[in-house]
Amino acid sequence: MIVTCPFCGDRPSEEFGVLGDAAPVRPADPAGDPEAWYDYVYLRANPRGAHREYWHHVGGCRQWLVVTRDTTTHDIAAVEPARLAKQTAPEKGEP
Amino acid sequence: MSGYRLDGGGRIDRSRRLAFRFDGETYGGHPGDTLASALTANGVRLLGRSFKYHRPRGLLTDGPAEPNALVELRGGARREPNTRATTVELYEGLEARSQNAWPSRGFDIGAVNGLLSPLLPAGFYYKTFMWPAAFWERVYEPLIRRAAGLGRATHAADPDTYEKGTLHCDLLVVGAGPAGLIAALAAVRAGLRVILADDQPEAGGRLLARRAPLDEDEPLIWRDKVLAELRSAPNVRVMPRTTVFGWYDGNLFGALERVADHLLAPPTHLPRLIYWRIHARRALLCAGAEERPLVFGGNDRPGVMLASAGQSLALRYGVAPGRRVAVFATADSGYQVARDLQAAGVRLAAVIDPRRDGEAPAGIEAPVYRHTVVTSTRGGRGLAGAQLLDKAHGRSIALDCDALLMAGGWNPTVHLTCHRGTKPVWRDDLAAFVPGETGDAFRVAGAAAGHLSTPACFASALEAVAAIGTELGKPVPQVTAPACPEEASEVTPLWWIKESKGKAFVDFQNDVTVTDIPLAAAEGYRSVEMMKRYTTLGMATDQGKTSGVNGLAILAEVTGRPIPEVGTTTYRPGYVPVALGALAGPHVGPEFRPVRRSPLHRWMLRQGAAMIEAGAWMRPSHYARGEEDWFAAMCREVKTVRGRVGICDVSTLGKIDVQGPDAAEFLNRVYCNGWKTLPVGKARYGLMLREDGFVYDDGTTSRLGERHYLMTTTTANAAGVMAHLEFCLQALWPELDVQVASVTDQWGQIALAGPQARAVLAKLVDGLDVSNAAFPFLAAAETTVLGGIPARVFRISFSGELAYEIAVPADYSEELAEGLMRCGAAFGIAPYGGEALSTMRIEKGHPAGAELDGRTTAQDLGLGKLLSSKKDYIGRAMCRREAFEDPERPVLVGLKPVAGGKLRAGAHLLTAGDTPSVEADQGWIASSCYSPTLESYLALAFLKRGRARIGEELVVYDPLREGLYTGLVCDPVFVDPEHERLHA
Amino acid sequence: MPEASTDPTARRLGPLAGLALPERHEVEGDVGITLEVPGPVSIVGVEARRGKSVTLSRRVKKAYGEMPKPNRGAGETVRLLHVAPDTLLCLAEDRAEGALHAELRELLGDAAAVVDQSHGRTLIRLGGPKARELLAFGTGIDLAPEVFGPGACAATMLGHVAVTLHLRSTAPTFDLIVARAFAESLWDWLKGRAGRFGYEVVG
Ligand SMILES: [Zn+2]
Repeated sequence: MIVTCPFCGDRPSEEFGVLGDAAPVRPADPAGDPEAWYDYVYLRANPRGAHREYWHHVGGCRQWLVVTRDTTTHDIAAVEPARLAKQTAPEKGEP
Repeated sequence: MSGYRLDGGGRIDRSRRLAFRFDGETYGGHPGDTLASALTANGVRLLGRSFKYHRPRGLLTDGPAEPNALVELRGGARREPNTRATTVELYEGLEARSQNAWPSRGFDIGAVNGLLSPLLPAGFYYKTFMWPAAFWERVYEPLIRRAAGLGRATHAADPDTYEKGTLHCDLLVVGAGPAGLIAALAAVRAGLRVILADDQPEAGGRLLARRAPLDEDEPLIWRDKVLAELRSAPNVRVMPRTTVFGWYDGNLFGALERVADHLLAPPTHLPRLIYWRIHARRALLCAGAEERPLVFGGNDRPGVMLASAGQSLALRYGVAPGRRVAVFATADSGYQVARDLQAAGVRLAAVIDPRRDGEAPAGIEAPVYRHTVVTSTRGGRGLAGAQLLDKAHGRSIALDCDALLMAGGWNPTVHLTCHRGTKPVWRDDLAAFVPGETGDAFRVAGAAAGHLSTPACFASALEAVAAIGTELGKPVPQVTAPACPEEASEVTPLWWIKESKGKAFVDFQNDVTVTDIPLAAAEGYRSVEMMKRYTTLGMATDQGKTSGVNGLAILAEVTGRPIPEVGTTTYRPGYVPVALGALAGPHVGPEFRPVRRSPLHRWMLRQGAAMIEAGAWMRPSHYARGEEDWFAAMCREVKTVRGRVGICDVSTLGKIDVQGPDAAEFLNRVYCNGWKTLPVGKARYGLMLREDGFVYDDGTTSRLGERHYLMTTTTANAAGVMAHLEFCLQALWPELDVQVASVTDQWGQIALAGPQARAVLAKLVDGLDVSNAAFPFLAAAETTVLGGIPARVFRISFSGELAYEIAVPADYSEELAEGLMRCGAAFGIAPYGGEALSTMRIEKGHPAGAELDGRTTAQDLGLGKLLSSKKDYIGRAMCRREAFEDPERPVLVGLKPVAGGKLRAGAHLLTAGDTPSVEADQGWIASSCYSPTLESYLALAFLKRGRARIGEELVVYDPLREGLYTGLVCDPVFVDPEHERLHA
Repeated sequence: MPEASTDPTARRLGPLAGLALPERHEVEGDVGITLEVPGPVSIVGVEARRGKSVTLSRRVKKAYGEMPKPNRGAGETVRLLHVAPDTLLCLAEDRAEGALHAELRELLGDAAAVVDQSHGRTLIRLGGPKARELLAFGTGIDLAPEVFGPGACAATMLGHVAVTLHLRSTAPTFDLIVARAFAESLWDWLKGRAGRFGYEVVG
């Protein structure tokens, strides 16, 4: 299968590692609601159809990606850098 | 009997003769022959015995669908069972043996099964070998396997090499028959990158075995023109002897290239087979169609074969299928075969056609019996004649013939299109299944799509390529198909000759007869998948290629359902059997996986190191001197380090360069302990948790500069920790300005340990003050050694001794090792290996892999005090869960035998007096060793309420090895509990 | 007591020392593959600090004439391979030990992490008319000239080993940059397949 890495372009799927569901968001407060932490650490959806997953282009540019994959057909609808989910402040250019 | 070779014709090279052996007899053939055609030319028609009834069998087909003509090919370590004689290219020195025949093909003891056949109906395995259950393994299975087994695999190591590779193309054309050739031609002219794969040694498909002209000339003249144009084009790869066997997600195809199977043995530099993974933007299946046998009494007698097989024998191989050849046809293609055979000089006996309507086609120089069927055949080991029933007149006709060709219609080769779940679709007009909807990425053309006439084949291929070109932005120029005469291609299916006498076979390979199917249906196996499993129809090496559709059509008839309602069984990859060697590719023996070698690898070998695998790394276990075994060497090495000084390669530890303005904050978040107070020039032990709170990894991390750290990881987790850090930086905290880079390979690193370590180091460094005051425990410095070699020196210890680790750029590793040996010679320095290292860390109570097994917590390991409560970090929220703080949790303790005995990892601990049980279990031994320092076995164990039980005597329960003995619970730090040596 | 000070560079020992010796193995009178291990190559990894990718590009352009596009290499004496976002692998074959690292730190130190990998990565040069065919046995990426032309680079896997490929010229000549610990495995893998095409190890 070919996965189109946003940086490297078309690459065989063997170059990628898969972590899983990209939906859970790490709670901000370590002392916060234990249920929220439990959900974050253990609960994973297993949908039929579109699924956003963390993939790692470990055999290429080593970028973590969010891959939107159809779990019934394995068709990939989108591949985005995980970094872009949380954008950093704009650059202050140098003179 | 010999002399079936025709005087002319065929694609064989009559100028060269090849000698080969079959069942010990020597025969001759020509280049271009298959084993099947060469045997037929020599008059050998009995090629083996059937699986269940041991009936004599000859060849049925001319290709990979062959169910009967299975042989053991080659000998010795290259012996390969179940090889289809119809696909084996003849080569000088070929050796093959028939299967399922004992003591011989001609006289077969197992044929008695035929007489017992009423006892061997459908489901006979399940019915006969039921009781007693204990008999199954010991009696029934070996018995069945010996009597029925399909050939014998060799037990010798495979002497051949195999390869894997990846190809990419715009268009993969599967099959180089008329449709495939014209498709490839059009696509190449459009500028598409094309792969044309075909399982035969030469392109042409059925053009190789037919006379119908193309452009009013011999069909191969057109083929040669196409091939010449393809060969001169840079954008096509023509792959003969390559079978595309699987269609996978993302339009990936699996293909098997037989590089050297047509040779006696592969040339030394070539692999035998290559497993290609073909990434195709588009693919076009032009795999043609398989002819169907007819089901009538005695249809398995050698000499009864598919019409297409007889046509191939005569036209492609120049061999007469018999001296008097009859054709039994329910499809118009049978008449074409009859005419082709006639023209090739084969004597026709008759054409038998069950259809009553219409005129018999002209030009057949033999009786044509319409409205007539074959009810039975006669002959011993080969066909001698057939009994016909003229249904119009109700008369029986005895026909003398030694070959009977069956034209029962065509099954489009749909298999590849089904590999991803698409179901084939029944077409009544063709009486066949055609491919279902597979989407734009994989199209089907030619006979595989149900276009049985040649003009329709060409037209469908050109139409498909035009659409593909448009989709890929490469318009396909006008390509004119060669002129060819229209052909009659009607099929009137007759699934089963009900007037048959004797066994009428549906599945030849599994000996399933027409009576087995109603029996299965009557016993409730009405689903096609159930019928397959119960009768075994469609199983084994041919996967029902010739039998499947006949079987389910008969099932439909006996259960009174339409065929589409019965459906087909599931076709899975591969389309043909694929050698396991090809799937493994080169990854066997030394190439099983790539090996990581320390920069000290060769130096260590020169020192006498015994190397062992540690993950992908090779690491030294010990350095034997003289007659020492590993144990003696380990003991000596430990004593050397504890008494004097030793060196050990630690280059394999993961090393990660961490830098950037937020580096300290980052370390604070990935380690459970604090990092903000670590000064430049210092190292600190770090413990990493997983988000679920369990321990993940540990190591020392040093601060090399204000914003620059060097992290070390365990060897085993190095790659995982690197990926984890990247995840944290990219997905969790992209706002942190931190850059990480693996520098594991950049540095060769050696541990220098023992009471004399400082004295040795002082001689090694160029100027660094290594006094205890200037360079205390956990100091770290960037400096030079041995006259200008850049180096990093860390005062850290795994052994518990006064110790340093010295890292140099890897190309200087041997210089460093030699330098250390020189500087330490006066102190009796010696290298030590992994065994000594492991012993010393147990003596010192350092947790390692067996203790950091993913199920232990910082608290379990006695490291709970490291858990910071001042910051967030990975695992923070989970590491204080109630269960983690449960005082009953097993925690790390030391264990010593009370009265001798080997403590071993895996043994369990019991309170004295308790009966062994899961409930009574108090813990387990994680690591153990013999300690040369304490002259006793020692262990690190996890024990419930362990720290409160120091001094208690427990039962060590190890029933599989040493039985029961007594252990004393103690502090896990056995050697130097006050850590005086570390700080010396 | 330190040893007498000499130029330490002469004491370097690469992972393929003693293995990559000149030899020629023909198949039908021809060689389809050439292999070469150039002497110590300076290799430095550069990753921009957060928000400094524009700064990095600007300074690289100023110093070396061109900031390569993603998956491309640029530069002559210092070759810059753009192998990952904001990440360059920099190579020089004529620099003294440590010089390239120092040069890049000077140039980029506040805008990028600059990490010396000269000893941690090994460069193997693969050439000859059959080079692409050989690589197809090890990598799943598409190396056809129209897809992977001169100047292209890629971080990928070759025979289950992570490598950075750079196509230096149409000849074709590929530079393979591999982690040092895997260099010998990769060398064996290359030679194992080169035998099919005929090969020459260039000294
Ligand atoms: Zn990538």
